[in-house]
Amino acid sequence: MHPSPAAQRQSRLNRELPDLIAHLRSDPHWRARLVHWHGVEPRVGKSAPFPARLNPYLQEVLRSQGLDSLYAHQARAIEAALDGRDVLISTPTASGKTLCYTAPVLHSLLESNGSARALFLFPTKALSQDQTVGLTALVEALDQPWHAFTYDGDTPPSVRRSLRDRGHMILTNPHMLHQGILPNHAKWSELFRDLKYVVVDEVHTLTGVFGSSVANVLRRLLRIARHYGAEPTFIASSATLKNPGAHARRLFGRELEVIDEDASPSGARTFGVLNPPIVNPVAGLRANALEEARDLAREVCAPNRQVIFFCGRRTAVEVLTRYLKEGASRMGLDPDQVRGYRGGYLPDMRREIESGLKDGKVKVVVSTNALELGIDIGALDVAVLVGYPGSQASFWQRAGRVGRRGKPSLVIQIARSEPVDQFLVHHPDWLFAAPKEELAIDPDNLVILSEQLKCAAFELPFHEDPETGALKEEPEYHGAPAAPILDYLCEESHFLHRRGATWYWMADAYPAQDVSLNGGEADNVLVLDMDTGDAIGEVDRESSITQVHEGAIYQVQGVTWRIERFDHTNRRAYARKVDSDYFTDAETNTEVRVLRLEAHSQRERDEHPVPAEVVAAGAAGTSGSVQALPGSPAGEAPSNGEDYSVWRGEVHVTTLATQYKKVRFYSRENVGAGEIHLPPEELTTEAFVLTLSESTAADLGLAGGDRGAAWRGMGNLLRRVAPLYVRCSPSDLGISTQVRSPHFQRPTLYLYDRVQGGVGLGELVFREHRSLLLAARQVLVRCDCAQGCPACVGPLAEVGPLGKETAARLLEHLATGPGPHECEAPEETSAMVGETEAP
Amino acid sequence: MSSAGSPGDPGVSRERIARLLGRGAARAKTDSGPRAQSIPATESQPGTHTSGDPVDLEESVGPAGDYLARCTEFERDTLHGSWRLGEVDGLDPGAFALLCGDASLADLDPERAVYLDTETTGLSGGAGTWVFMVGLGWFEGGAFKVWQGFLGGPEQEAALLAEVARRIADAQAVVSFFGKSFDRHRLEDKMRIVGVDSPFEGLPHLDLYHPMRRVNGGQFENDRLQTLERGLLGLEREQDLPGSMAPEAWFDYLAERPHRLEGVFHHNLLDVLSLVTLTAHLGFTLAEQRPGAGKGGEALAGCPARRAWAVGRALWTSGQRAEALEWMGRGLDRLGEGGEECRDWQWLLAESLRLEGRVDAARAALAALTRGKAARDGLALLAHEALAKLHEHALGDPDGAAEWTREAIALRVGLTPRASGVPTPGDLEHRLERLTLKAAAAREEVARRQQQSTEHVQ
Repeated sequence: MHPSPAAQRQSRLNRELPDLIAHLRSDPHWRARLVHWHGVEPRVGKSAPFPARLNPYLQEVLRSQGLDSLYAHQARAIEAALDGRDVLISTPTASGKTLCYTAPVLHSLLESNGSARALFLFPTKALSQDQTVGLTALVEALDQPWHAFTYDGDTPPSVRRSLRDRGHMILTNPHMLHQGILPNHAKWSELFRDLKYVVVDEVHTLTGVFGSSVANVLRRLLRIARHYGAEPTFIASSATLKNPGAHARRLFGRELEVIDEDASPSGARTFGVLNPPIVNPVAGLRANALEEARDLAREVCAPNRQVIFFCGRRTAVEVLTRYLKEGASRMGLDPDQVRGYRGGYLPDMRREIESGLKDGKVKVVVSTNALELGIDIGALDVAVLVGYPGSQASFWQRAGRVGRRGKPSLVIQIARSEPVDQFLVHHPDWLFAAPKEELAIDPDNLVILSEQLKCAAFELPFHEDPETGALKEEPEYHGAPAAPILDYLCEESHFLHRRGATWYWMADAYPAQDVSLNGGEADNVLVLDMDTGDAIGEVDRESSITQVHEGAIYQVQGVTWRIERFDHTNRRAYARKVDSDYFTDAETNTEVRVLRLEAHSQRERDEHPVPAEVVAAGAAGTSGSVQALPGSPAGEAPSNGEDYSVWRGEVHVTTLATQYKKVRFYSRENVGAGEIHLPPEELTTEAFVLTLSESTAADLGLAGGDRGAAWRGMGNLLRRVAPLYVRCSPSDLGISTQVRSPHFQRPTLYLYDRVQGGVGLGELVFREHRSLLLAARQVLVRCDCAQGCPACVGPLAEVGPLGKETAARLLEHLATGPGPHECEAPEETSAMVGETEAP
Repeated sequence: MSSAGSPGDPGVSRERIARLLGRGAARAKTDSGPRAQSIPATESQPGTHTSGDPVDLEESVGPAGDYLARCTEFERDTLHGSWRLGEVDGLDPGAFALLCGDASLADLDPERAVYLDTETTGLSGGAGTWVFMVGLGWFEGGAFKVWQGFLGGPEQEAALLAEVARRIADAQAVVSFFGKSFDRHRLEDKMRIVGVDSPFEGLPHLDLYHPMRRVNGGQFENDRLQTLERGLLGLEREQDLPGSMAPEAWFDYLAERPHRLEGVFHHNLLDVLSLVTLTAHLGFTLAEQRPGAGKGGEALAGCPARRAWAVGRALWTSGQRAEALEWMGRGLDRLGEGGEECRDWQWLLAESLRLEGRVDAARAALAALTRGKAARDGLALLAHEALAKLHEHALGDPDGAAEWTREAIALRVGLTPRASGVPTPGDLEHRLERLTLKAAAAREEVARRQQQSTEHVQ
């Protein structure tokens, strides 16, 4: 006899987490989707006593708050900080990182009778406000007259003064430090004079342009502190990283003691990987991840547990929240127990949701990455990640939101039709093994460094050491090309004035106001409603020529606007709302010019010959029209010789938008075209270059014509799997491919950093290129599509009928066998050969 | 990263820097915006250029190094506009304390104060803004001396600031124009950076800007120093270099180009002298006339009505209410009927009178607000309401109060339904209802008493 539906529902709502997991593993619907399970045994924490030298009164107060001992990693971190050693705590969410910096800070205040000062940097306003509340509570428990203040854009000017004079602990963010505090350091001299600790939270978020800029802001902070006689100690925290020490070295410009053994206890954890079924086998399209999340919610959400859903975009949060509120009663919940959470909500509402999560009133929350960072919401039970968040650190931060002490927890990752998501479906072990991503950061990027040197010179003059020609007594800038940039700022842009051996700021300007830590915001194009003048959106400089050219259809939240005028000089595009049944797709010509090659590795054909059957297959695929490309480059051995080469170097990229197509929505038919007349975009940056010898190209069937699409498809796939090994988003990398490059005279692929001057991505891709080739190969091999899809080399329409097959052959060859060996670093090239490509 | 390297590294050649940063010219706002204000010179502005060091600079060596200054001496009876510098003699510093709301200025001796004005490389503040000229003036012996400290180069900053601090600390008080908000902070920021103690702590500071605005604001196109000195002191500057061009003059000088520093010295000197005569002018505010040379005095320039009103308000704030009412009444009388502020002042005066318990005077002032063509506005309505309250509470006349309220209701109809700061029709109806009941009760009470007394008589 079957139980009644009502009884079934009741037992579904009442089941415990292990029963739920068992159900998901056995139910046919879910068994087909949940392709991988991974369990982590519960871990017993390792505790340690308070360091003996920690102020006894502070110990007593912490004990009175129920803290009898520390985790071993906390004790080590506090010990180091008390010793004045710079320290980085690189452990997962909820491992008690906060105490690692609050204890030494409060200790220093107690020991100095309240004269010590501390500065805290948090990546978001919400975090610094959260922490201010926590610190204030501790100060009250200690019964001391100290103040912890949040200093951010919301701080009213009337309060700022008392905050400067009375704040013992200032909690702020890198932007405010950069624009508000450092340029006005005289007003903050009280803080700098006794600055004992600088706490930098979540340093894994400090990468790319932002991280490279923040590294320079920290240089400025240190030179100002030194001016006032302080030598602060850094206490930094981050998510688990592959190479935390190296990242810290670049960010802080010095060695930090790394503490990365997590000694906090955790309950049993179960991870599931959900791959939505294929709904369109030809195009290789899978069911929508958000819809799968909605179905899954009916199983996992229940009154006896708290569930968090993570989505990539704000709109997805709103859509899923609405779905789940509508279905709340089926989950035994009140719609009010289901909440959305994202940036843009008012602070009061966010606080209310956070405390609702902490006290258990809120059962389901749907969030963007806003809840990924350390805001205290207590530990939940189930996390559902709709799509891979783009980095391993983010994945673990999100997963770290669940797991109460001694209780089991569940994390389910839903894959999208993206190469990285699909890679992880087939290689889930990648997620659970040690971190693999390299963080890109380059404090010495010339553009960033020069903008930041302007700000630094405004704050204090620079002196030259006449012996070396480098800066005098500025250890932060050791190894950076600061002196020649300062000269440039004197002679070319006249912001500085050099007298003798000193560079002085000498202009009527406040440079920090015009320098953004996120990079060229000043150049973004504002899209305006032509009729009302209201801003409807913003487009970055590089995208503007393809997105807001005259005639372009610009879409916002499903509404279509036609660009009527693009004022390129003044960075404004004027749009009118239209009911368009088509969108526009711009074509570009990208020209890459090699300026300088700095490193070169090469593999010989002898080391990994192309098997005869592959050569035959490559030839067969071209229907007997194989044509060896004419003219082998000089120096290549006729028979064997070079197989493939990789390079790192500096390139100049010119992108010209040529024309656009009008493409009808849904049917995707071409309904017209137009020309684009705009100046080209210019970029000088660092690149990774892959070249294939003529012989190998011929063997693998890469012989011009349609095969160029396969070469490009492979490049695109490399670009899209890059986030597996290099902390970036695919759009941070630009791509250009040629079947026969004028510079190298052979098939060439460029992956370049899209930031002017580069922030290190070129080098990281160069270093990790074998891993990327291997990951790309794995994605391609395991992809279920027939002839290409968005989850591998791209759809058939882009790569052509032989695209996937050819790319597979290329990757099979390049990713296997021995890696290339280092060659002598090439001379700086003066060849300025244009490389043109029409995609 | 590849860009690490020493200055000699080909990776960071000048050519490479220029190549990468060259695009920045079009990218960064900073490269196009402030450029005109920085070192490159523009030749098309008025004023005379000279080359090399400004004339008459004395080099001195202080404990913190060399500094440069120009000293100029003036007779006390030097005429600056229509005022002589020596006219500070006999002023009443009580006016400063009163008009600034700052008791520490009550004993300010203008002969022992230092008059301060600075020239800076920008108005934005921040550590990178230079104070390159500091003009200080003071009376000494029979003369007025002006010392203009000047930065011959940024390296002289610490020495110059130390000397400035010493000279300011020697004075009994500081006088400036907008200096509490600007000059003082620029100097203190810079002093903190180079480690010189601030001389301003605990030193009385007369900032002429606020009291001058209070007493003379609104009668000229703006409240800037040069506008006030023209309007009040009869000073016409000739060939004055606008302060906004001062940064460029100094940048030109440092870059060894022809520069207009002579213009800046002159401009700064005139500013310091005007501080003295403005101080004198302000110091005679309460007397309302300047002593004049041997003639029985001369009326003070400026608008007498506003002056009297400002003095009245300041006195009110300081708690000297009887005097305040006198001055306010004087101001209102002088203003006459036509003045823009007339009704606002009438209202404030009436309220002040009421608060002081001067019922009859308050009633008269309020009644004035309810008469005439203008009496259809929100103030008229407020006056009606105030009169109703006055009749109800102070005069014990609920009938009179009800009458004023009835008129108020009629007046309310003509005003916007949601006009802010005035009673709503509902408020007024409610009040009228209450007053009607109260008046009726009062009549009954009167009747009852009459009855009683009649009975008693009978």
